[in-house]
Amino acid sequence: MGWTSPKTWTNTHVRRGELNTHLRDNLLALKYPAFGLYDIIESSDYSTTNTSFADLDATEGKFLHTIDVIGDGNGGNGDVFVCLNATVYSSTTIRIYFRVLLDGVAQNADDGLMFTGTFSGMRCASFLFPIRNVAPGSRAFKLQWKVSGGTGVLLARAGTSTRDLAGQFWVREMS
Amino acid sequence: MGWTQPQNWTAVPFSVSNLNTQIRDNFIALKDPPSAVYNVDESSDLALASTSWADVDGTSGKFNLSITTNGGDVMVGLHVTGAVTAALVIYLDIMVDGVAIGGNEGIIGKFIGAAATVVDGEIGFFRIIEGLAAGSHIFKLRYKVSTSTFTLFRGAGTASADMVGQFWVREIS
Repeated sequence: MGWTSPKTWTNTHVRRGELNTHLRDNLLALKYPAFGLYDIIESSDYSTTNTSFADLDATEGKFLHTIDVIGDGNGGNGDVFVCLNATVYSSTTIRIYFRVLLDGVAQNADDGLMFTGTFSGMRCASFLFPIRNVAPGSRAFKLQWKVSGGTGVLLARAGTSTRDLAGQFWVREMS
Repeated sequence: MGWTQPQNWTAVPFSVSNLNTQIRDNFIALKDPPSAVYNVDESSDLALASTSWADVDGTSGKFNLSITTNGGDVMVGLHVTGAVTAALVIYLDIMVDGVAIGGNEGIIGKFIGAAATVVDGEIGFFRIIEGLAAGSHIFKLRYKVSTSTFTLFRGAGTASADMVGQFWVREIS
């Protein structure tokens, strides 16, 4: 099952197996692409004092999603969206940086994909990041972060007074 | 019309109706899934000052969108900009069919500091709502502020802040 590069139909008998592959399976592959999602809900918020990039939480299904990228069905590559919607907090004025790794390789520059701006208090940390030409097969997408100093907190709907927010981290094959 | 779970093809004659359902209708469903978009373009900006959860604008078709889905996941997206005259936190949540999906402070929050008369805060998200049953669903954007007022720009011609944001929902699987 999964995606098969659509054939060019010629004037021959149509076989059951071909219809299953080229219609049934391809429709299913489009309707239900490779996808991983984490609703960021934990008993405690995430925090870091790392000034070098480090994993938020490399538990599979949290800030690490391993998905089976289909690509074009002929061994060619596909495109994957990586999305973070979260709220971060700091009691001192800092920056919080984020980056994405694909199979352990950073996809962004030395200081990552984005930072939250220099702030204290609460800020959004949100991005939608397309990664193009991802090779087919099992692929691991992981989020890492660092701070410029002090302590950065990513809120995880942990019941913290006035900071009880539920973010989301997901990856999805888009083509 | 709409999505039908693809069948297993067996060695029987293909009926016209079957081909239309399995091929035509399913490709149409994938190409043009249920979706609704509100381009935030009004004659005036919007003052948001409630410190308890409230609708941003409950008018149908604005920050209150309804789609009829085939059953599956829906993506909800928001990009807006606004300003404040006093430091505050603005919290956002999504209500799906009358039920809020976030925590006590919603799904996302942003602190916007010190007095600003120009653009001073963008806020946005792409949120996936999983496993909605087939049928009509209502998606409403909700907010609260910690204090004071967040002025949401709505393409109203405000000097240096004439922005048209967007709120949308779309079935993705």
